Amino acid sequence: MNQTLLNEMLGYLELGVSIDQEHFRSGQRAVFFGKSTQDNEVKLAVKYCLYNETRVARIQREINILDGISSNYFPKVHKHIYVTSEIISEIIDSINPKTNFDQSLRLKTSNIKPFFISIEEFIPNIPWADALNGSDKISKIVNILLQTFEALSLLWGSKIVHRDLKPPNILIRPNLSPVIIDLGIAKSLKEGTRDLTNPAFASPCTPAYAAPEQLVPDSEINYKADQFSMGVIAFEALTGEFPYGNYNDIDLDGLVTNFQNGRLRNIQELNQGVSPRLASFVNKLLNVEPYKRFRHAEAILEEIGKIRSEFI
Amino acid sequence: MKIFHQSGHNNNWNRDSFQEHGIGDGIIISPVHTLVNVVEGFDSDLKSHSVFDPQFYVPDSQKVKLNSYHFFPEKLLDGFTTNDFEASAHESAQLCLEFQIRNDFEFLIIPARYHEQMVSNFIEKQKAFSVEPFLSEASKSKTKKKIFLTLPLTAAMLLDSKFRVKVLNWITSYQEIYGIYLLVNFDEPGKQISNFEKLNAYVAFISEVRGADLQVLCGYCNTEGLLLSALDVYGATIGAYENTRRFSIDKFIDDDTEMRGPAPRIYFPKLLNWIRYDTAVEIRDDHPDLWKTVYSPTSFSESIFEKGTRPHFTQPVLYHHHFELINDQYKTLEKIISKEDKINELKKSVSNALALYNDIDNAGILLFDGNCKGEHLPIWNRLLNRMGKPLT
Repeated sequence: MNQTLLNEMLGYLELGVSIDQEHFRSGQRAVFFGKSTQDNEVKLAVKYCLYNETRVARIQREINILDGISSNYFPKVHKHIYVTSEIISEIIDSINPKTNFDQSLRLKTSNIKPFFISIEEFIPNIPWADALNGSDKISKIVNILLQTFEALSLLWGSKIVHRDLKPPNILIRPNLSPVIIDLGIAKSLKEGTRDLTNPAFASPCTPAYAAPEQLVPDSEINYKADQFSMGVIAFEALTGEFPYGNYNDIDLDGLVTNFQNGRLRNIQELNQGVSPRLASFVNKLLNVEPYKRFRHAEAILEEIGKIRSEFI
Repeated sequence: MKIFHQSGHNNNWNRDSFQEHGIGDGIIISPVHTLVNVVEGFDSDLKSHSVFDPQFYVPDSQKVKLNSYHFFPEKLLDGFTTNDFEASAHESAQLCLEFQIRNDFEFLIIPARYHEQMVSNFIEKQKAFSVEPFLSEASKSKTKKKIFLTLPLTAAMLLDSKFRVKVLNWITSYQEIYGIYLLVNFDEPGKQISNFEKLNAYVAFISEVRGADLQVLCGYCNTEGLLLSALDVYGATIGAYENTRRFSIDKFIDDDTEMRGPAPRIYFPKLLNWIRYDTAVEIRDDHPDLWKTVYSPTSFSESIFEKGTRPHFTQPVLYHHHFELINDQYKTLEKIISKEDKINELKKSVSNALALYNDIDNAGILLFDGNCKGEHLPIWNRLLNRMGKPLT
């Protein structure tokens, strides 16, 4: 659905938003930015997705998770609706062709299929590179890590694991506080929900940031996978390199081989400004075996707190 | 490090030892040996220092006392089957936790099933059987009590490095679990663990669990429990009868109320072992100088020797003597701060015990019972040397 048609539908649905910019489109999903029709100053993000059971279930899951967490570290979902064929028919039928012939004809001939839409808080953000600019780069990274782990502790406390943490999924506000987005593949770890990676490596993750257990068949994924991804993010932010090699250069086999052989690069050799304590912290996150990573969010926060005190 | 009485048959001895003699920090209550109404009737101070092991090891156990607990799988289902229990696991968990919380035990124990074989889906089975239902119910109960997860393993499981890592990854994946209640069936022919690989795997596993920031309560300890004090464990256990100092599921299947009468043994802390009472008398009567160096008296042992009659293994004095002395050994080690110093102290004890065994041998005393010999000590010594080095 194009922007004009979607805007028209949003009007009929009385969702209180008008879109003015397409931010992202992939297949049958798209993200638009717009404004509240009640208050022109309020920017909103509109997520559109053509109905597909799996895809909608994923979005619905994300909304449910966000509904359960009230924190500035996550975007707020204002409204969401599944627009069924019946609703589309009702909208089309409500238009009087005698008075609005062109509009009626356009909607009837547009072949609008059922879709799902959510209206979310717009997160103003700056690129990571800009956020980390300056001589106090390491201190900024530590602060962002601290806040991101505060956010993750909320997820983990609700027995939810994100599974796809990477810089594009952590937006940095202009005040340098992070916002975690894209919980579409987040998974509940509550009892009965099995979460095994697909033998065909179809595990929902981004390989460059994924934990080793996400890349091998039949492994169990839990909150420690998020710790590993955060380790990769921290390592990359501190050194510009990937801890076990760059997936784009060495491919999956190379990455898995490096995991198996424990070929973790020396963070302090790549950036001499990294303190032993910070290096040890990042290395712990990057342990190949999950049991060697941190066991509690509290322990992580406590350790980052100590690292942060090195900068005060 | 806490010392719990691993209670069993005649568990009033454990309660007397704890409440009247001040030995140990609490009791691990054994429902297979104690009816539900008896446990309910224990005084609140005892319960607040004790924990309740639900003992779901053999969920279809027919043992009468175990079946006095309505949450025990066999009782709850009026005949346990794995398939049927799936639907009742939450009810069992909810009732069992409610019992533990209501009785205000020191912390909560999540039970587990014992698997003799290294089944491939060991973790999935444990999760479905008890772990996830219990964690889910514990979360609903909003309890603030610490939670320990029972982990019954075999030596073969510990010796399998891949299995060990899988288990480590699993048990450390629950943020809400404070520690594990570790039980290992060593399947050893003698009374002491005389296989270095098994003992080494046990110690290595505990070290790894501790390294992963998870507490460990080591259940069913024999004298090797002293070695664990160098591993910064949460607790170890002391027990009277042998089946409280060595984990096996026999007592959940067989009748242990009419045990064969073993030769009475008396604990010699300086030998880090038990010696047959008859041998003790031989040393005492025929080698008084040696007796002075090898024997550690308590009021209990003195009463036996004063009486001059051979004690029966069903009398508590021998066990009270053991409780007091091994508790002292644990407490002495606890006062030593560093791991290195603890290891050195233990090595000194091993060396001293070996020298005393040598003296016994030189005196011409025959320890015809293999279980009373110090054959475990060289193994301990090698292990202590290994413990002093970083894990590889």
